[in-house]
Amino acid sequence: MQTLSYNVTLTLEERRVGEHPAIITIERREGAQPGPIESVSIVPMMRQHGMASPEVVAQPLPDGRYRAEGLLLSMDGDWQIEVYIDRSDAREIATFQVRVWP
Amino acid sequence: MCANTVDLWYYISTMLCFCSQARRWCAAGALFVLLALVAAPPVSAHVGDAGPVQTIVMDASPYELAVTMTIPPALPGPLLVDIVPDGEPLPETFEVRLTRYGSPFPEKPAALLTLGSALSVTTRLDIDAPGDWEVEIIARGAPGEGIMRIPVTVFQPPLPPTTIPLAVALGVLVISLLAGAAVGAGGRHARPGFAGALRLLNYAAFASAVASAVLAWLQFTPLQAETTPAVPTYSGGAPHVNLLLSTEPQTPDAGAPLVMTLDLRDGATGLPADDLSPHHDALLHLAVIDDSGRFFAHLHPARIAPGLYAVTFTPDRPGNYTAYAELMRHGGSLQVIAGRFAVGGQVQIDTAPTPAPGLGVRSIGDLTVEVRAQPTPLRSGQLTTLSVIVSDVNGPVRDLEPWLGMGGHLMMRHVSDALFSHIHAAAPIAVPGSTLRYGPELRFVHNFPRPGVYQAWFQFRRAGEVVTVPVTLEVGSTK
Repeated sequence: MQTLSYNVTLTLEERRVGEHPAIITIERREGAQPGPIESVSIVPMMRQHGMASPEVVAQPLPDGRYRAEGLLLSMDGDWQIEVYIDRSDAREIATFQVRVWP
Repeated sequence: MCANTVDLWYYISTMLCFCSQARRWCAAGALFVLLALVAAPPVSAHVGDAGPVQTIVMDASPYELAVTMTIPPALPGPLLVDIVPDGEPLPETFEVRLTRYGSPFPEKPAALLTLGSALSVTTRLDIDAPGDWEVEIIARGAPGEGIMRIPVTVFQPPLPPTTIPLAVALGVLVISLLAGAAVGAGGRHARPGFAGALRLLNYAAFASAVASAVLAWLQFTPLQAETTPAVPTYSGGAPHVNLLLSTEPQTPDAGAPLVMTLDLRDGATGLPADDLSPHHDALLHLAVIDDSGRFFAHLHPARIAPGLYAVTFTPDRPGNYTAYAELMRHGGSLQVIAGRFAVGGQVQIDTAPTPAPGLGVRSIGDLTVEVRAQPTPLRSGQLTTLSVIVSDVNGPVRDLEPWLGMGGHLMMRHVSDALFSHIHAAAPIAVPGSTLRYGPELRFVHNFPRPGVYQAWFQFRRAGEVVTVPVTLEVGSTK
């Protein structure tokens, strides 16, 4: 998934109902010169049923990726998972459509 | 290899032809399969857009009833109707009728049911054809009579493309087996002419058996993992709905019951909007709130005619009220339509909990409820998790029941802006008959669009009773 400044990859350890960790890989796009990332957080939304899961702040890993613990996918179906990349000057959002199985 | 297979088949079929008992069973079995495929067309029918089992909650005042309909797997078949009174007062008897949509209901009910000491009553209504139907339920008891009419649409999906070739192959198989039996009867298969005919018939039987097997495999193997919706949807979405709100009496008084009628009209044609899809176990969710926020009711008006819904309730104080009707048209998305009405008279004795300002702990009946938020202080424009943590004298409770398919509901409005929100707890959805339980924490995620004062009502159910936690929240400006 591309934002203005980044190529963002979201990896879910399990695409099943429950609380699972997620790995977020953020690579700067060619030619982009964004400032340093202050925080990365992730919010799953089940728009069809009018609910969202609590926001989880991802922690940076030594290899430059980010890991979010306890991402709540409370039911099966089509989720919209938004990754917020916050800098001091702007927020960029990468949106993923994910089907979750029972 | 093919010749060997044909010879094997020839041998087997010849043996079968000599055995009249086996021959009869063989033909009868093939015929049975053929008839089973043709005579019982499957239906993917349902109430609205949901699955073949659908629960609809309606306030057939003075009774709140949860009606679960189970569509028959094939037509003709029985529509299973399970009626559960959802709290006091309890009706004593039920009359259930079935009619084609748009036709009058028969005078004689299809079922007369008595609740007695049971928790629910169940009946079966014979559905003999696909199409639109209506189920009428009249509940009677000491407090009076309540009525609801639920539309049911039964779809018969088109036959899979392999059905007709499969029927043809099975037909050829049966005919060739019967003809082979006739040709081979009495030892005629030994004669040169008959032997050739018998061999040809056996080839035909073999070919049709192989074709039947392949087609049957295709017939019962899903070609794609995702099923297409059984109900055709509007490509451009359905038009909006206009709400014509009226009360009886026209100028109701506080403390006296009023009947509210909601006349839903298509925003384009002006015709009754009668294509509501159930969402969260109801066709229509209605929040009635007075301007002070002290009166709050989450109701589910009963459908009494196409596009016409009615509910009875008793406002407890004079003033101006807003009714927020939340509905979803078939093929459309959720929409909220608001209507205003006024109540006269005097303030009645208030038994409802007073909305407590701010976060923190409060007592609701025998429960202690702590309202939390993360992050705090509350600010507009930031994603906020609002939580209720429920406990009783024994500690945190983990037996909160699903209500309207969810672990919890949060209705919220801004006191001065036209903002109304209905948020569901971030928790698994309960299907009909689920034993799922929730607690002690229910979490709701929301982004306050504007700063200001919000009135909020958290709702959940425990031991069959809906618990409402009114809270006033002050939301600051974006940082």
